[in-house]
Amino acid sequence: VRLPPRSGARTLILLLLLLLLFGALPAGSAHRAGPATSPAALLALMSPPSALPLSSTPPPGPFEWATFHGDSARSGYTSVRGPSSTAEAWAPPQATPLPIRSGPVVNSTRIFVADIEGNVVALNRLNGTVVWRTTVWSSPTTPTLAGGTLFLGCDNGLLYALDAATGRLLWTQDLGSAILQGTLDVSGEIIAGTEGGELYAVNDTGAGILWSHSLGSPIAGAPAEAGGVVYAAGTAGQLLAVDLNGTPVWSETLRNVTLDVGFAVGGARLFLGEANGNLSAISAANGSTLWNFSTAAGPFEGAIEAPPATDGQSVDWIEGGGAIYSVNATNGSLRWLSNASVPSAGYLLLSAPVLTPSGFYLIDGGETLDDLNPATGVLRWSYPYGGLTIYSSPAVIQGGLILGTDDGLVNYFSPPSSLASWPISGTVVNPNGTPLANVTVELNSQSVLTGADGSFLLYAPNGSYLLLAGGAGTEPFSLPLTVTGPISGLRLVLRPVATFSVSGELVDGDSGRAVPGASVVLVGPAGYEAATVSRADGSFLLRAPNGTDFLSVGGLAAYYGTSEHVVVNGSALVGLKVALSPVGLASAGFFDPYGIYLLLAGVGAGALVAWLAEVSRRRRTAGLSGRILSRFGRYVLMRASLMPVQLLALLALLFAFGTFLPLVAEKAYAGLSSWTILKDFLEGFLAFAWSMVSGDWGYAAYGHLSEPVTTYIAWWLPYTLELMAFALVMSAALGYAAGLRAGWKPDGPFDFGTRIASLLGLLIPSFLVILLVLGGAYSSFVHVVGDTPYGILPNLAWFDTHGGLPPGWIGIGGNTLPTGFPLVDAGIHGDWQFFEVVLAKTIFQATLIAIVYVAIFLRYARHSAAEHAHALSVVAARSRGVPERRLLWYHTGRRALPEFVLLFAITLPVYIGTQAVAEALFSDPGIGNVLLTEMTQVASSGFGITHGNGFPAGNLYQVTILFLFLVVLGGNLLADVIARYLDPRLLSEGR
Amino acid sequence: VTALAPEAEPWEEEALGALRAQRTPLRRLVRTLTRNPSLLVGGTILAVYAVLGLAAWLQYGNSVGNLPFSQSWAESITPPGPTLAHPFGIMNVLGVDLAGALYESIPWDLALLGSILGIAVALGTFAGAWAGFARGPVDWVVTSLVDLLLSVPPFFLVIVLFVGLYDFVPIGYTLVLFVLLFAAVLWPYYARPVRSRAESVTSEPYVEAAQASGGSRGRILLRHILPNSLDPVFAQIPIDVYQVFFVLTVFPFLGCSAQGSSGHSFAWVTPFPTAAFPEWGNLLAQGVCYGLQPGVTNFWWMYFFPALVLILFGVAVALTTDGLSAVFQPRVAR
Repeated sequence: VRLPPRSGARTLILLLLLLLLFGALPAGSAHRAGPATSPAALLALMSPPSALPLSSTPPPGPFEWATFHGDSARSGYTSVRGPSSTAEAWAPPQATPLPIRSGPVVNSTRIFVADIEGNVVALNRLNGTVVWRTTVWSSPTTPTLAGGTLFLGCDNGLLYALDAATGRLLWTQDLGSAILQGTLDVSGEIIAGTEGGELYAVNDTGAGILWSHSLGSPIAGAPAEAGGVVYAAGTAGQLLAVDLNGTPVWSETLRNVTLDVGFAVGGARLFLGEANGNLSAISAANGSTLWNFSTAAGPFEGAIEAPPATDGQSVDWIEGGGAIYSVNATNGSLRWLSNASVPSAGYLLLSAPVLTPSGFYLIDGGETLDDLNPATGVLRWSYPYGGLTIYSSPAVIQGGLILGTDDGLVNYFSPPSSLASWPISGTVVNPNGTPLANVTVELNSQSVLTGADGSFLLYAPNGSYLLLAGGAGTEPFSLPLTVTGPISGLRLVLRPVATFSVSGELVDGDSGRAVPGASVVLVGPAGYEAATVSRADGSFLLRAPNGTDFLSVGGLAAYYGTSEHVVVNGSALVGLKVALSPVGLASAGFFDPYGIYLLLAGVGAGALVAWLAEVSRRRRTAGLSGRILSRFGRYVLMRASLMPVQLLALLALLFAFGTFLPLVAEKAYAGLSSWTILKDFLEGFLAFAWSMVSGDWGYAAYGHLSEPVTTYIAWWLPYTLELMAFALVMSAALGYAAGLRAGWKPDGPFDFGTRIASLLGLLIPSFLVILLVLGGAYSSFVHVVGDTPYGILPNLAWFDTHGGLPPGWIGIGGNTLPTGFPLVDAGIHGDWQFFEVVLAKTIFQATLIAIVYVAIFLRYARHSAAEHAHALSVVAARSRGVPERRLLWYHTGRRALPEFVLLFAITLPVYIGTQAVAEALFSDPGIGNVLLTEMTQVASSGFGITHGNGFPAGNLYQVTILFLFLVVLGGNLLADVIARYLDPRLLSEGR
Repeated sequence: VTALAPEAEPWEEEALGALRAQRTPLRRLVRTLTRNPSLLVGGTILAVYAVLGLAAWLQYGNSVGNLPFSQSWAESITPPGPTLAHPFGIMNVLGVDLAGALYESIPWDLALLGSILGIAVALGTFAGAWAGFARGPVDWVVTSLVDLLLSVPPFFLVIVLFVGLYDFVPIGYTLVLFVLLFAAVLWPYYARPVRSRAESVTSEPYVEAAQASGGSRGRILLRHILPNSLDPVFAQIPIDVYQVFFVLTVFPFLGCSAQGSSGHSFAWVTPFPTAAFPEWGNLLAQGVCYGLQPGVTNFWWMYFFPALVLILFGVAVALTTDGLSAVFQPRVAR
């Protein structure tokens, strides 16, 4: 099995490997490992690991933005899709005459904002009308909304609790000095940091201070919480982690550091921006610094004034100089750096950015709202405020973004559909009334998982829908629902799925003996249902629900995997017997269907030979030469008849090194007699060669795909051919002109120049050239032309013209439909934007390939051109007064062309290697990239053996090399024939 | 020379002097070199490499993977560039001083290239010359084998063969396997042109004369055919220097970039026993991989100096072979 890149599938493979280990143990220990092999445990392990940030509070709903930077982890990350353009920007009537500098908080019905004088306003989320207005008489930080209460920490040191429904003041708590940036609500505790350097926990019912800690310097930014631990930093570099009882977990001090902002928590890491422009990752477990990223900028321009946003995989932020960074959260390596921003020296960039899977929203230069592609840093759209400074941190909800401005407006970037949605909530329970967690509930193409209490919350505009629910081990549930307003209290009762036992044994298809240690997987329409490993006696037992329809066996090197159609329908299945065919043995009677054709072919060949002999005899009788074919014809025949021999030799090589030797290395032949091994080798080779030649190439796993090898080739060969057509034309034109010109005057300045250039071109590895050009030119190329729809980066602007997705005519392999040639298909579908981008990219790549390849070609070509330039015929023509230009391009060029064709054929393999590297570096969907990718996975995949994975074994790389070989061989033959056609003297020279 | 008349004319004396002057090997060498600047320059550079290589070998011996290592360099996100103390800068991840690493690599690279090209040239030249001279079944076998091996890109062929045999070789001997396989893949590139040259040389009058005077086939092959068929070898050697370095660089580069994008451990089959093996191609690949992320980071010294050392060596080889070609085939216009 090739290791696919998706983590879910990787988990499965790891699991199967583990199971293999268990299965290899004696039966007794396999029983001890029983719990791990129970279907439920397997299914639990099979589900991909959760990517949610580590946080004790549930993730916010799609229309919720409850505190500073979105959540208590201050991650600034939300999984909803924010606005994708400025088209929907609007503002309700002015909410307050004063600047709004703290961020808004949002729930499904309201938006809450506060201006710098302490006026707090609640707006209707759907239409922006003011619901209530009150004042707290002091500049507040971004509020926190929890359980119907709005908490505001203010400049005067007071913590206010307001009733979110009415704006009524519930209670206040004096914390002694100004409360900074944002408060936090965790399990009934309000956490706040003050300018006096104290970290407080206050009971959220107003019952006073629970605990406090002094950090010794003003608390930097907003405290964060994840996994029941509160993290806070002091501006002088003190870091503190305390649990919810106020017991310190760890404390740490960073030296020579000034901090203006607090932590953003993602995964098990705390990310901290420093005033000197550095970003540190700190272990949430012990406070040790994991890595440090330096932006190496000046003391003011480079300062990080707003916390980064992180999804646990990457950390993205803007620093005072206006540069926007994205680094890998694991190791701090830079993912991208964007300078496509407003120069912003002199502004404090206090607005905290927001990261979503589709957009990265930030205030750039203090005055422009930007949306960057989070994968690439390329600007998607921006909204300039024209000199108005924005300090407010945006709140991002499903389809929308909300922001306060300095002229007291609340700006919406949001399509109306997301505004007019009604909350639909309820609980999912089993027939006993027990709440079911992690059940998927779907409505109007939104889907959520139920929480630990079985509750769910979805949103839908007016209309009729089908509410769907389902999870592991439950029967699917559906409920027609008409929405005209909010719906709550839905109770969905999900019945558990009945499972039935499926048992049987695995046997060797040849000897009939038991096969232990193979993985057995039951698959239904929804995916894997259960998996186990066959015991020492070859038996297996699984439980699966109705609808399960496939039994897949694999996981052993010595046997081909197999799939059987097995239908579970209301009763147990026992006594299944699955025969596995051993790898390397020819399948019995493989000649049968073809024997008759072979016989016919033999008879036909005999008749042809007899007929030719008769023709020859008659020619001789008539006094002519007995030879039937012309000299040229005989040459072509001789060359063509060599091809099968070469083909057979290559197949032997591929089989021996790719299939047989790895089997030997896996000790598949241990204990067998050498005669058996030889027999196995020969039979295996026959079967291999026959299936290769007859096009029976099987299936192969590639990435997350499992397709017939022919399908991969049909997908990706046209791409390679298209690039090849461009690159070859450029290489040929360049190589011909330069080769001829250089050979014309050997050691002249042009020749010297090309010699040096070709030497350098030869010795600098092609991927270095390509990478350097990529580095120097590709980013500007991307900015000018746009990205390619596949390859390095998806161009989101292009995707947006297709509703956020690739169009239907781009297949799952990145291939285009119907022809597979991207340019042709773009023309067919009239997508000229796609056409332009792909054309530009193809020409770009072709130029690079030509630069590298021509260097190699020239090394040979100039010798040949030099010889012809001094041929007697050229000298004679010169003496007749033929102009030099004509002598060069016509007389010499004509004579050198056949040899150039031959040289091209000789260097064709080198050309293919160069193009493969170019394809791999640009991540093209081409055959060359496939080959290199296959080879980079060599060590993990057992090169050449597709381990049983339920598919017939197919060897993508062996087929690809065979394919290249045929191309090279055909190219050579063609070149030989063309050269001899152009210059018949080559025939007599025996070359 | 002694056959010349004793009472020689002055111009004859002069010519005789010139001929005598040629007779001391040293003078002949000096004369060859002064008339052949590319041989002089290329040879000098190669000699410098050889001397440095010998010094490095005496200093380090065959200490595989013992590059002088520093943890702080390895973990540095912004490794220091060239300074007086470290003229070629520092390579992070590997955590080495680049100048020292490149120096320690010289004997390994010379040995690798020398053995691969030595075997390939010897095998290819001999097989080609023999096939061109003997014709018949020998020619058929050699030609078919050559055609077969030439029709698969050498890069892929080496990998197919190497990976098939990789499991059977103890980890310290993978380089030996690599050398043997690479030579086995490259020899046809010499055999094919040498064969066609030998074929035409065989019909030269002096070969017929040698046959007529009773020279044995082996003697004719070694004394007449081989030396006169060497020219294509010199043209091919620089290209194969490229092929070898290409593979040596691509192996670790693909492994490294695959590791970078997916976070997998280093699972790529490589001829090097350790990731920090002192070899120019390896250092270049890792330098590109860690030092050059397009549009992001550019620690230019991490790839510039390995590339420089490698390119300088390649240029020296090319100049030397061009020069040698002129020495062996003075009549052929270059």
